[in-house]
Amino acid sequence: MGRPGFLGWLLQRVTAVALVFFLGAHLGYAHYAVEWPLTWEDFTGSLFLRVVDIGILVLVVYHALYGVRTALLDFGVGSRAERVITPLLWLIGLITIIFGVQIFLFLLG
Amino acid sequence: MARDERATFGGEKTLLERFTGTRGSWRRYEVGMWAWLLHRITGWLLVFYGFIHLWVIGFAAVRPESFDRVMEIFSHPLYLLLDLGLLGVVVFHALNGLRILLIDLGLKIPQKAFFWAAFSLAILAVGVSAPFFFQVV
Repeated sequence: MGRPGFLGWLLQRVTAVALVFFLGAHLGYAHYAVEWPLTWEDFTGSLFLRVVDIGILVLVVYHALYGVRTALLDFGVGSRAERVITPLLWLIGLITIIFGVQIFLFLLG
Repeated sequence: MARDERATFGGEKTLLERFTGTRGSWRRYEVGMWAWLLHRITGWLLVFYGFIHLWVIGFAAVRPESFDRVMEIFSHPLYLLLDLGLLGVVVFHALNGLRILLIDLGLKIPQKAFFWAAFSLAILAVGVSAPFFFQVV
């Protein structure tokens, strides 16, 4: 994959485009197509939508934390901090995804 | 940012400059710089919102009663107003992100016009959605 950082840059663009569609769908089925206030029943019915939710979660976490990494590097944190930031963000991301996935699985009962 | 500006404002960056990845007074910025600054600011907002969103709903989803109660709280007009703001932030970030992608791909797009389009469409999305959010129609 060419020069270092290219894969990260590419994935940031790929997740961005995917998120336009996935978040659009998420807003549609979780906010527009249902009566407010939302209820527990709205979120426990569909296996398909919970799988979509997990997809959104992974896309969002990658895109958000890569964005945070870019912003932190713009901070001018230095190369020593940079070596800590990347694994730390991976850890935060994995914990977040595990937290989210077990919530979605719990909702399915 | 203009290169001479970077030279003019020497010394340590302020905290605000670090958070926004900018340097010096924003008043002298051109459209492209505003686009970049707004993308960074909306990006930070969305990161914080995303984590709060997952945590609040995640912890509320342990019991049907707590889930319904939290959703009832978030139906308050104050939260609907915040939701409306969030919609504008998401639409701007998405459309300006698309603009950045097109520029990165080397396409010769009218960059300033695309920024104003992203900005206007975000405001339009908020305006059009407001009556639905507050169930006026």
